[in-house]
Amino acid sequence: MKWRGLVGCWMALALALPLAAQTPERVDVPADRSWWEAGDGRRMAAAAAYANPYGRLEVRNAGGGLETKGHPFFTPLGTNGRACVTCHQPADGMSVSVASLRQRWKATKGKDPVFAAVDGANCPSLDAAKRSSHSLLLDHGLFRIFLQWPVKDAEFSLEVVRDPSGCNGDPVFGLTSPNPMISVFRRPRPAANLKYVTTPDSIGFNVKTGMPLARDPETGAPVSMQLMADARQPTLKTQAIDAAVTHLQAPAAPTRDQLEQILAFETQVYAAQAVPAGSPPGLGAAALAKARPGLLGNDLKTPVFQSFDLWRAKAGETLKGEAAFRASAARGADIFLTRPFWISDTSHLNTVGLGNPIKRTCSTCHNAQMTGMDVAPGWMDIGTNNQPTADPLKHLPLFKVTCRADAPPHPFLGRAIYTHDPGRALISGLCRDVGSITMQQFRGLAARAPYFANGSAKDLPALVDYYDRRYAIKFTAQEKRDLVNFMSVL
Amino acid sequence: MRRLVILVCLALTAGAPPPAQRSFVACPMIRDTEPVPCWLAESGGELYYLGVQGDISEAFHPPQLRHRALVEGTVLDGSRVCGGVVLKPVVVSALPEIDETCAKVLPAEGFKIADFPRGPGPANRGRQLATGPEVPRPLPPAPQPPYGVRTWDVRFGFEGLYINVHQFRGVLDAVAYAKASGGQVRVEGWRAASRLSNGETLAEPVGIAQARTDKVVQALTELGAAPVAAVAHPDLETPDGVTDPERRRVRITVRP
Ligand code: HEC
Ligand code: HEC
Repeated sequence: MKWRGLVGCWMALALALPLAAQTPERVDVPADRSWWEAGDGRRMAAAAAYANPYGRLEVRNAGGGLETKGHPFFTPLGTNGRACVTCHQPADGMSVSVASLRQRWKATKGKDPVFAAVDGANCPSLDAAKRSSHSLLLDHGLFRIFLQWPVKDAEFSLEVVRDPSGCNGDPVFGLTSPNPMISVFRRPRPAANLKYVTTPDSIGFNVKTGMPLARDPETGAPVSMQLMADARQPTLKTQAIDAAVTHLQAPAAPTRDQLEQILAFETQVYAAQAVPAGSPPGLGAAALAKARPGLLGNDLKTPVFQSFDLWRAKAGETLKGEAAFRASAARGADIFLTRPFWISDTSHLNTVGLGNPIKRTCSTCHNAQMTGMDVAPGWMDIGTNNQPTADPLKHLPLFKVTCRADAPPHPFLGRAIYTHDPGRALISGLCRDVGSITMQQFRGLAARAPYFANGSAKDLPALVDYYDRRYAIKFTAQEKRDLVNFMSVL
Repeated sequence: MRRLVILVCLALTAGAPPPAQRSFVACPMIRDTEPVPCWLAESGGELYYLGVQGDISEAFHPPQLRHRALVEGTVLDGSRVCGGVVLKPVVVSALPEIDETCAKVLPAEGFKIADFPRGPGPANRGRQLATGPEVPRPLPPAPQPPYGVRTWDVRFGFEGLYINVHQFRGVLDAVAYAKASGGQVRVEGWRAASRLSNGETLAEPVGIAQARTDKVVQALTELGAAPVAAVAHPDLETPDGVTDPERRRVRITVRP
């Protein structure tokens, strides 16, 4: 709490001073200025809009416009020329899209620091000059995440079945190297709207483990357990230190002052698809800045993304153009909230007291207001990483997990599991966690394809198709379009 | 079956349980009724109704297909719901090992559910709206003196180590009481057996008493009420086919 207070104070000061006499600025950033280079030094407007395939994404600094020159989120802190902003691009909803990465490869002939070999190549031991050495990043938007393996008391052993990047078998970087590491490949998660990501479930209980929530190592306060695909980081502070040392190759952790600036920035930046005035109240970055986190939204009276009534078609009305699109998005919001299907064999959803299967909706899992995350720690195995439900992901490593005979099995896959990313299990060491991924927030989706932690859904229709297959939903073509339109305005 | 020990153990068996008691292991079945599905299980040629799909805040936590279930319940009054004889109260434990034969989804066959906590979609309670005015959350009442010795039992499913949301509230209450009263916290954990209706006894593995005790000690410690002592009881108490679920427990005692 003390830490929060400090950050708050700093924020108030740092943001109020340069702005004192200024009115809020709004800018439309042209496409050729949309990539934000590390150390660029330009001013970040209080509100800026960036074009994307579905319209425009808006990024708002609740504290007003920001001088980024020398700011540690925007400045290289390590040896590879990257800053945090390199992979958390405002134009891409504070993540980075595959389209932007490809443009960047073309524009810089592969020299942009985002392609740094440490995790911007399929493996650092490959020839960094070749496009093929960066195929996971350029074709699927995936950075290499390398984690120590095994962890203490792991219930299972890992065997590499397929290793297209070569990194898991690499003599320097692999699982049998002197400093054994597992490499999995993941999408950057949006570094915006973070008050929603970091607010812990109010009762302090982690329904996934049946235990209390983990705690902030500094303050002892309960944490949300929602940061990163495997929830490995308890706080934004520990996350920033880890990001600086790994992604930025900083020789040491950022200074206390730098960390305060990074956190102050991250906790006041909001990103969402831009909508005109008179749109539903939950849409747009300003609504995110204003609304309160930590509230359950799987409820007809307090829906996840608030009411879409303003866009609904009236009975008997035939709409055209923009109005027809909006009515479709409103129907999509209804499908998301109320269209039931059988949710089955999903570890950490069907195992927490709801039964297997359960006839419910998208919002059963995506239940937190404003972000569509889970109010509880959000890791679940919806099958995106585990075979046989995962798409045939030939480009990704495939591991065989063998669970100890005396350990409780994965509840639906047993003790021999083929996985592309063990997810939460890489941290917990538990068999039942193999393949479980902490759900991401839904905001700014239009700006940051592909989707899922492993990038397996190349666009929003592909994401809907995944669910349609995985849970045998049988959505109609109209329902699919409505869902896509709905997700595109978030 | 690996970790499951079935004992036909007369020495442990008390007198016959009352005729309304049912205790059996079976594949659960789900029926696709409107507005929400209902759960059933068959034993001795009779179909039993266990409950409907609900929320984790409900007392009834349904079983899982692809896992057999230990069902321990009381025949309510012979009435039927969803085609099955109502067991109420009923405790259902999903057994940890996978059983692929437990896969039956039954059609509605004309059955309907009249009494259900919520439909197949969102709840309709209305909570706080994130974009609306803030309503302060009511705080639970703090424990008040005079403080005496109090105990809480944290109950588990058969072969289970998971503390569910209801049981966790007991842990939270114990922590609040220990903090308010300054009392010493002690923990005792048990393993248990269940006496089945067919006369067999189903016993939990020996190590589970210790594992449960460790779990609760860890939870209490993380919540700031570290126990001064913890004991695990690996010995089985005699199952009676009635109160068996109550014995799968860890007892927290706070002594001011
Ligand atoms: C090379 C690209 C890259 C750089 C540079 C980078 N990140 Fe990230 N960031 C990622 C990836 C990939 C993830 C997701 C990792 C995972 O899920 O395991 C992520 C996740 C995050 C998250 C978690 C969001 C959530 O909802 O879980 C935050 C916050 C974040 N980064 C902040 C930072 C900060 C602060 C810096 C600079 C110190 C930084 N990042 C630098 C790639 C990057
Ligand atoms: C059983 C729980 C569950 C249900 C039901 C569910 N999801 Fe998800 N959803 C998840 C999890 C877990 C993830 C993270 C998976 C991953 O990244 O591999 C996720 C991720 C997402 C994402 C984020 C993608 C990204 O990369 O940012 C979107 C969008 C999404 N789901 C939409 C939907 C829609 C639409 C439905 C209904 C058709 C739905 N979900 C139903 C659990 C669920």
